[in-house]
Amino acid sequence: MRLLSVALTFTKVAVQQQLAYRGEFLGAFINAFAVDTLNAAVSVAVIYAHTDSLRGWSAGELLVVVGLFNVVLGVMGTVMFPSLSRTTEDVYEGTFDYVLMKPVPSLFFASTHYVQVGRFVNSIVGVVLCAFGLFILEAGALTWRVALFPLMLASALAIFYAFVVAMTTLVFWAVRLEGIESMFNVFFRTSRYPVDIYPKWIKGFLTYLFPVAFVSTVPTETLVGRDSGWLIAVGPVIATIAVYGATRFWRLGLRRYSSASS
Amino acid sequence: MSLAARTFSGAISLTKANIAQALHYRLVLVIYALRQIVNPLLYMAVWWAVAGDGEVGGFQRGDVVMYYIVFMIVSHATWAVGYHQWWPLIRLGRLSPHLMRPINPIWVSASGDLASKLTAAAMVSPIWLAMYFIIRPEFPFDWGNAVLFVPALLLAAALAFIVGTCMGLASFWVANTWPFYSIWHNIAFSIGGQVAPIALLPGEIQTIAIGLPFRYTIGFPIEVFIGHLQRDELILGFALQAVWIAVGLTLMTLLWRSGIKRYQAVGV
Repeated sequence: MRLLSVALTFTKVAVQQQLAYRGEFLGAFINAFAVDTLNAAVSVAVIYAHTDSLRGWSAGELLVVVGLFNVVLGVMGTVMFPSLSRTTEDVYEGTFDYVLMKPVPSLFFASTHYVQVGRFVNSIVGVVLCAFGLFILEAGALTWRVALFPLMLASALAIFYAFVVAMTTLVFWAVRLEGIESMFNVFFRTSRYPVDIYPKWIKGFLTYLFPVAFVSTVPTETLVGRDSGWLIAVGPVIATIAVYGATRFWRLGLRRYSSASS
Repeated sequence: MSLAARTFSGAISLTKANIAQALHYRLVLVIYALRQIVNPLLYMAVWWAVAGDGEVGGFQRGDVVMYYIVFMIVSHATWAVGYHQWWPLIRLGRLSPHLMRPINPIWVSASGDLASKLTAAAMVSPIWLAMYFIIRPEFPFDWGNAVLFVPALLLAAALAFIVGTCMGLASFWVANTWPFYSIWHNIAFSIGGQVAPIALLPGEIQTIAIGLPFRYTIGFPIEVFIGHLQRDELILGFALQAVWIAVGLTLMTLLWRSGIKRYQAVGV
């Protein structure tokens, strides 16, 4: 409860700071809202102008996939990336000492203390796209699987939170970590489309090794009532292992930290 | 030596210096190379799936594959390196020493652009070849189109550089120009030839895409290479490419001249 109120305070401060730059905020807002939505709509429209099904996925289903990709991208861009990338700078500059001195768990502070408000627009766009997709699907055929949707979405967020934490932890060895977010994003963008469109070995890679399948493909399947087989069970398992592993790795990294000259 | 010759030899020396500099950031190059492959592969996969064993809008499977392989080359040549240099120059006042030099900083930026692309090409061109030899697309190669591809590519690179520079020069007025440039990129993504070849865009959108500048920084050179364009489409394409470059150059000159008047040595 106390941690929650601390996180809320971080968010409040960030909102106040960032609304001060109104031009920038507006630019980001217009970009994410109008242009991203338009982008997604155009790409889906273009594809389905030439076919009725993309490896078995209809236009409505694809919109839900693109929507969920944006939802997760928004959450990661708002909270996880800004905080953790500041943490890598802290370690480089030695100011990480102050993080360790705070009366909250270091990983909690490192992953929540800086919020980039503007990026949340991505999530809003995502929700709009999902709603539009479900509207096209005339989601009358909701099945019991829908109940699993929140669990699937939570798993996706947990898996990628763990990924980002693990990558950030590398800073304790590498000292300087630049461009990690870009590297991550390159692969993360593959979840804009269902993993079914990729060749088998890439699909395998995106399901088990860099599991973007759980960002959009599997949650969409639960939402629209497609059968994703045993992957439904795999998601939460991977999520649990990943988060556990990442926190252990973080602690291991902390032991390497040698203050200002690390 | 005439002014032009001196400017030119100055630009060559700067390019050499910049090549040395660009080699410092190897990790950046790796990330760049990855992004260069993954994005086009994504849309290659989409259109491969749509085309199936047949064709989509006149594109055989081989055409689709070739389109996105050539896309990698074009997007490398039109990658806006120079844009990022302007913010610190203008906002932090680092432009001042450049103004003392007998060469316009836009030339410095252009040489840096060229140097980065040449060095990075050494890294990414094996990837292009590997892509071609792994997938082995069935594609009727045509020397005529390959020759026309060269000017289309160079003009696209020039236009992309001009756009990037204009966006960068906007730093004279705006604290953060990235949101605006990113709007440009996002539109170019939709109707510039990444999501789909322009020929596959539905009716109205296709007409708009042909008129606007985005296609001339990405899609047009690829279309020239693939060779689906008719004679008059080719002429119209090159003409519009030239028109947009002229518009861009005018705008760039205007921005530079009025921006430099606003500049106050310690930044803006």
